[in-house]
Amino acid sequence: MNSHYNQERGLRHWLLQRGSAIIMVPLGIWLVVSLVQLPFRNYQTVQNWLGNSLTAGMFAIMMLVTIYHAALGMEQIYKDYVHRPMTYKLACFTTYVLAFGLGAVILLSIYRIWISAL
Amino acid sequence: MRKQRPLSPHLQIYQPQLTSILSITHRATGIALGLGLFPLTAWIWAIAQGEATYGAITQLYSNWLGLLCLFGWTFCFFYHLFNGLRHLAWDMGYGFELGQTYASGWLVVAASLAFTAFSWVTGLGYVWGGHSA
Repeated sequence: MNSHYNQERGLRHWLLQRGSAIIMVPLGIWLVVSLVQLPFRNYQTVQNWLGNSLTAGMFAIMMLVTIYHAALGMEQIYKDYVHRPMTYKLACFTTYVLAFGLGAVILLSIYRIWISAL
Repeated sequence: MRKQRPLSPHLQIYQPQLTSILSITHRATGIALGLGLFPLTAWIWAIAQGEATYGAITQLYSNWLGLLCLFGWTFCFFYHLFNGLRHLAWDMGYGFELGQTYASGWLVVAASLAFTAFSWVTGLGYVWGGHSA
């Protein structure tokens, strides 16, 4: 791995972090506004809210982008504080595996809610 | 264990400033939000499981600790959002003068506190007003 590879990887990380952040500004605001108003004690209403196709889609995108943004952020933190290369790689690997796992559970759950609301 | 060699003082001597405090808070709120993704995912999963599971998890999250965490995460969300916008402005080249940095910094703190308070007053208003029933 030469310095050109590291430069490319660093740039890619920087762009993905900013790109995901920009996507999350409107979607995050939408999500918080929606959740504040959501009658969370009423299961049927919650199910209908998330069962709506547009909501489900926006929510799924928001969650996936958030999870990825979080993983990118954690990688940056490990880069700063974890000095042993092997420990750093292990930390990154674990984080991305967890991110993938969370993403899968979220997607499957949203799909299930959406399907049952059709 | 390698012998600990003496290092020059760092955090013991570094004077706290708005810039450095806001910077580490941005990182800390990021971590907190990341951790919050786990209970959030569990909540979505519970909705998919059905009314019984959903009722149980909502009950669990409604205790004092759950509400405290939710309040904390609300602040983390708004702070990370507003300071994130501050970062994006820097990325585009704006706001690097020291005066501007301090002004935008205080604005971020004020906005974060205000939006946290406002969203909770609104949310609790909905809950106590029977809207969440």
